[in-house]
Parts: sequence; C-alpha cells; structure tokens
Amino acid sequence: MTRLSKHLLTTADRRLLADLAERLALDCGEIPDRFKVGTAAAARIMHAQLERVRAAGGGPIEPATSFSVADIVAAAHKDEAHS
Amino acid sequence: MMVTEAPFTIEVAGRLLRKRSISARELLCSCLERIKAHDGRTDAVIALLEERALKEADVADDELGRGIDHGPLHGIPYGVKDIFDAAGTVTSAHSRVMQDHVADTDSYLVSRLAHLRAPLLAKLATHEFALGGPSFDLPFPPARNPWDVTRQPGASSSGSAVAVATGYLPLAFGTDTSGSIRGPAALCGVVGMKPTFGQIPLGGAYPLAWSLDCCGPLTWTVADNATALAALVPVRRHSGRRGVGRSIAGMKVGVVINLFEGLESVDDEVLSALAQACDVLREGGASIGEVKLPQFDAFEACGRVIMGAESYAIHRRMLARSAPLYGAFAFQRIAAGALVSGADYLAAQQLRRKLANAVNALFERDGYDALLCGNNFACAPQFASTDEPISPPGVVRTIPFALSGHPVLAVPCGFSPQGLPIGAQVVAPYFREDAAYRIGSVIEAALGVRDRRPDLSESAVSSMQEESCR
Repeated sequence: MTRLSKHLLTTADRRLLADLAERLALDCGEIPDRFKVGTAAAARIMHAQLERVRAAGGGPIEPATSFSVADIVAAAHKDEAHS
Repeated sequence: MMVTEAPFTIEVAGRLLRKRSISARELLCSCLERIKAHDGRTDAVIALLEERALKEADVADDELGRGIDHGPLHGIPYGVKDIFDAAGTVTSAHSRVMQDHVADTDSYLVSRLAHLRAPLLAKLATHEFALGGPSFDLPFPPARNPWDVTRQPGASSSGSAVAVATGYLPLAFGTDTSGSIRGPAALCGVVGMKPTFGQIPLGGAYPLAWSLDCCGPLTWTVADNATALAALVPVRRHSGRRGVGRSIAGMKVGVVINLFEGLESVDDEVLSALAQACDVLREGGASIGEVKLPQFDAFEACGRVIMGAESYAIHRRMLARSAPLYGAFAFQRIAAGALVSGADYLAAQQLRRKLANAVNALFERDGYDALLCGNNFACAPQFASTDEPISPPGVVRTIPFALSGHPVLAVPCGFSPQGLPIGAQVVAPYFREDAAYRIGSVIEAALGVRDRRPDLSESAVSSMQEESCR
C-alpha cells in the first residue's frame, strides 16, 4: 500500500473498499493500491447521491409520470425524449 | 494563399473550394501545418490520419472538378474524439486498455462524413473512456487549454474543442453525456452543439452511458455549427441553418436564474457576461422572463447514479480483467457504479422523468422558445497536481439538459480580464436546434467573441507558464 493511501484511508474507507472489491470481482483480487484513496472517495460520493435519489424517487408514482421497464429501454431512443 | 496561413471557417473554405481558389488538399495541408507547428504545446491530437485524409481530399477535389458536390462539408477537414472508430486505425479512448483496438469499420459518424467527402485528419484527445480525466497517468497527455496552456480545457471532448479553438481544424466532433461537448466549448471559447438526444446515431463510438450519450459538432462559429449539424441530420425539419442570422424579435426567452444556486462562489465576470448576453437578446426584440429549474443537486445525483450504473455495465468485464491498466480517475468513477442496485437505477430513471418533465414544461406549458443560462461558473482551472488521488470537480453546470435530452448550444459570450473564455448555454425545445442557433448567432454577432484566437507562439506560451508559477 502506498504511503499516501495508508495516511488517508479510514476504517470506514477500508470497509467500503472491501465491499466494492467483492462486487467488482477483479481478476487481480483486490483494488490496486494506487486506486484506493480515489475509489473510496468516489464510493462515498456515490452513496450520498444514492441517498438523494432514494429520497426523491421510489414510492407510489403519479399517473402522469408512471413508467414501466419498457419505458426505460425506450429512453434510449429519441422518440422517448420527444414525448 | 492567405487562407492556408490563417485558420478558416467551413463557410469561407466552402466558398473558396467552389470558386476553385483553393483545393481540398491545400486546405488539409494547411491544417496539418498548424497541427505540426503548435500541437506540441496543446496535446489535442492523439493520431494524425494523414494518408487517409489526403486520399479523401484528393477524391473531394476530383469530384468538385467534375461538378460533383456533396454539400457544405465537401472537402472540409475534420477530427473526432478518439472514441469513434475509423477503419484500420486504433480507437484508443485515451486508454491503455484500448491501445491495441484497431477498428474494422468506420463508425456511423465517420462513414457518414466520408460519404459527404469530408477528410478525416485527426483522432483527438479525450478523458479516458470519456470520463477519467484530466489525468497524467494515461498513455497520452491531456489536451491543454490554448488560451492558457497551464489550464484545463474542460471535459472529455477537450481535444475537439482545442483543435477548433486553435484553428487546427474548422470542425471536430465530440460526445456529451453530462456536458462533455458544452464544457470544453465554454472553457476553450468555441461553439458546441449537444443535439436532441438520439439525433446523430452513435454506432461505432465507445459508449459511456447509453441513455445519455449524444454526439455533436464543435466549430468556431454558430453558422458553421448549424451547417455541420444540418449536413448530418438532413431529414429533420428544424435542425438546419434556418435559425442562423434570423431576427429574434418576438421570441420568448427564459433566463434560468438558479442554475448556479448552492455554489460557494461564481466568478463576477461570468455573471456580467451573462447579463450582457441578456441585454443583447432584449435589444434584439426578444422578451425575457426569469425561470427556475428544480434544484441542481437533484439533477446531479440522478445523473451520477445513471452514469455510474450504465458505465459500470459497459466496463464490468473489462474492468475485472484489466483493472491495473485503467487510469485512476476512470477506475474510481466506473467502480463506484457497482454500488448502484437495479432498484436504485430505476429510482434514478423515475426521478429523471420528473426532472425532464419540469424542464420541458418551461417550453410546453409556459411557452418559452428557448432558455438562456450559464455554462462555466468559473474560468478554466489550472491542472491539479499529478499525484492528486481524487478527480477534480468541474466548473460547468450542464447535467440538467443531458438528463432532459433537450438540444443545447454552447456559445461563447465573453472573456475574463485574463483573456479566458466564458460561455452560455442556449436550450431549445426537442428537435428545435434552429431556435438555439437563432439565439446563439445573435449573441455571437453582438458580443464580438470571434475577433480573437489563442496565441500559441513560443513567447506567449512561455509567459503563460511563467505566470502560472508565480
């Protein structure tokens, strides 16, 4: 582990990285040292963004904005953007 | 011949080509000369496709000589962000991971432009896989802002914006997922269009996030931009040059007053340039109203979750296999996408729909013809130190309209006292790129932002470097 990451990684960061490494299933086993500090920061930011999205999304959907999984697929097409 | 010594626009070059005052080969050679003379200071070009481009220029000349004209891009040299395939050449995506990836065929964009007889001269710098940068741990250096080479040129279509700002090329293409055409356009002082989502097919371009990626042109002038888009999307009624130069009298323009809300500071010169742009529109006879978007934080969270999930889905296998080959910034951003569950992704898409409806209501419910808002809230920042472990935050606010899918024109609207460009975004209803061009061409003409180009002489670059060390 680099001196920089030893200095900056907290216990919570290490837990975060261990969880992420399991999800990523990297052939090299674990997240390479030089990525650890930045990846922990990016993971913290993603968790915060997910909280915001969970707070704003989900739950009952108003009819005017209801959509199906098919809508999500259609979102990749311009006609969806046009609607 | 003067035109070969100075940068040229598509409009001027097209006129000269058709008068036979210059050949496509001569135009191409003038671009090559400029690139070879100056790109050592700006690092915009990853690969020159000289042989291919010369062949295409000769075909263009031969056909023009025989009276065959494929339209306004005939004989106009251009470059693409190096995520677009061009047969027989490496599509590096600015990554070590892709260094051996030689494309079998042309991407849709390159193939369409070949059909229009535009010679492809250069593959241009990006961020790794269009998201990891600016970074110095990649096989190629990041592009540098030509107005001050010690500063960043914006987001991932940076090589494209630099190539146009410097006059290396009159036309370049980039992609915009959350702002990667508009950000570099603002920081490098060029015109960039993120068209309505889906306008230009992305076949053969390395994706970043399928439901957000858009391809669009970067040019020196609004008129050139409209010309390029119209050539590529000829079937759309409104996407062409119809808007350029038309009066804006009677148009209803909404000025977005809360895009920069929540920021600790916004550069004064940015606010003053935007106020000037508003004055120009008012003087041109447009009626100006103030509008608000939903909170920027909601757009940002939604965009980051969708981009994270989709980019991880794209890279999942390659990341598992080749993690050590990625640059740090790309790795960290892509890996964080593994935290997004299916339910989270669906919630983000649901939120996206609500946010997009709120933007669209400004056009459909409130009757605005276009929206005007800032682009960069600060001038181009210096490059971060090379051992910075966390990717630096951007200085543009572009993600709302990436999520909503509306067309947006990034147009220069001023310069800071240090001579760094400031940009505005003009947002139009779906498929009404002409409305954005109409507003943009008025701003461009009134504010005189096309009068100067970056100075890349050795003495100017030395003084930029000295200034940054102080």
